[in-house]
Amino acid sequence: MHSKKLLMIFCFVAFAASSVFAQRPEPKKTEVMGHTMYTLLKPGDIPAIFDPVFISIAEAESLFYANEPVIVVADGNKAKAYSIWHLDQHEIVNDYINGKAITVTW
Amino acid sequence: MQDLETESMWAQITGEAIQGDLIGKSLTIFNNFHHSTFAEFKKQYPNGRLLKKEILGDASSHYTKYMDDSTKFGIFGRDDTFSKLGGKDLVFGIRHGDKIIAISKDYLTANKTYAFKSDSVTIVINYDEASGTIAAYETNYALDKINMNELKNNKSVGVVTAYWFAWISFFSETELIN
Repeated sequence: MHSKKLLMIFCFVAFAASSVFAQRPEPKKTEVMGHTMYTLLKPGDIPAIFDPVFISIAEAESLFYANEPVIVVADGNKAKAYSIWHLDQHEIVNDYINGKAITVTW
Repeated sequence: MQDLETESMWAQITGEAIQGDLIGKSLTIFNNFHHSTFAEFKKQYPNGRLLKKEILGDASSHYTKYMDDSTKFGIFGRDDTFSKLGGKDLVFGIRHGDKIIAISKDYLTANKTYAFKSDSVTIVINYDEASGTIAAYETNYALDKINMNELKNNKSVGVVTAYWFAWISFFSETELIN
């Protein structure tokens, strides 16, 4: 399952507030496990990242604010950081760390 | 979330498929991830790598000012009506057996460790100050005989980092350690 490409189309915690909402017709309603789920976006409206590119800290100095929030994934001697402000635009990164398939979601 | 292969729908907080061919299946929660800042990441992981972006900051993000006002909730700035914690406070959530526990970030960073019994084993959640990581493990030792150095060889337990509003929305019966 880890290798599955994941794509954000719906978020229970309702982070997304793209302007595309305003252009949408009525949300699609479905019943899921006794709850009503409203689907606001179609697949691809918030483009997931499938081939992430990484940079060094030196390269990042000109692109990141010191207080910019990041999600850090660490495994053994490897550590990767994903800007939350950047994830806001994509919400899912399909990635690997030390050969393990991971998905970083926001 | 939706996976492209089966178009199954997945819930972010639980990691479980809630609709589609894979309903009932679960993703494995990856331990050793945490929220931080670029400045902290640099200090903790000088050889770390960052997902490339094209511009400084991101003026279009809804989250650049998100944490500025703790009394407002959500990106539309509604009044925060959550109890026990602020809606935007971070918690570390664990589900193990029948136990559902949320430990506030403030509590764990101050106390470093929290342990509880579940299904006859002890679950220890640990905050490592040097790396900033949070991880939880099972142990058979009594609470007063836990060896923190040996913990990492034990079976790990998934810890979800979530805002309080998200965790409590999924798990209204959660026990809060704060």
